[in-house]
Amino acid sequence: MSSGSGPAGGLQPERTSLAWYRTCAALLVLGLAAPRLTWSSLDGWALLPAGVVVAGSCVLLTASRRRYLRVRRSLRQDSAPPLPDGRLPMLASGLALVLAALAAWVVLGPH
Amino acid sequence: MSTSRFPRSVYSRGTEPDARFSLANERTFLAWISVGLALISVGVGLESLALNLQPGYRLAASVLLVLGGIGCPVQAWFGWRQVETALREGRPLPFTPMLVGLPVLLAATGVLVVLALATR
Repeated sequence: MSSGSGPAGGLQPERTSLAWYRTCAALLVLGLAAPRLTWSSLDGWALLPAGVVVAGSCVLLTASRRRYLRVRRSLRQDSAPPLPDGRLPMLASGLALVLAALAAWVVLGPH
Repeated sequence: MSTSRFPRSVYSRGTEPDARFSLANERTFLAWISVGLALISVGVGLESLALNLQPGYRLAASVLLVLGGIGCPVQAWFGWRQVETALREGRPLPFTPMLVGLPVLLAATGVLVVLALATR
């Protein structure tokens, strides 16, 4: 994890930002695909958890972009952080668990 | 030092670590989330697609994968918390239970899929 002579903080912030985009994209795609599988057993209610995941991943997408810019700025200034905290990780975990619950429903629930 | 960072049980302790380690911790967190999403995708696909497999073993494999899909986000969050706290306090990094759980789960799922193929 060397920082060399590249941008402040090396390439770490960019890698982290890309990892966030990747995860947001995966959450979004699964959230959009979920109603197809849950509609037969949940009817219109299928849109509720799927909507939560889709909306949540959009929030995550925009928030992680702002997070990346803030990290870049605070690293460049080398002043006291604070760097971002655990709010976005908590949201991402929650959305992943919602999708896991939907998956459990599809696998184990009525068809 | 900011007082409004969540969770306070992490940020009220120790001092600010090297930013690169915090960012690496975040990437590890996101990797666990991604693994969890991949597991539930395979688990749902296994059960939903019209595959020629023995139903009992197939269901067992799907259930295992979905359980993994629940364990991974849980590991992601609590692992992130513990590592961030350890980084702040300069302690050794804690053990990651899912690093044992995941290979065991995948091996068991593989066995179940082979059985599902063999007994269809």
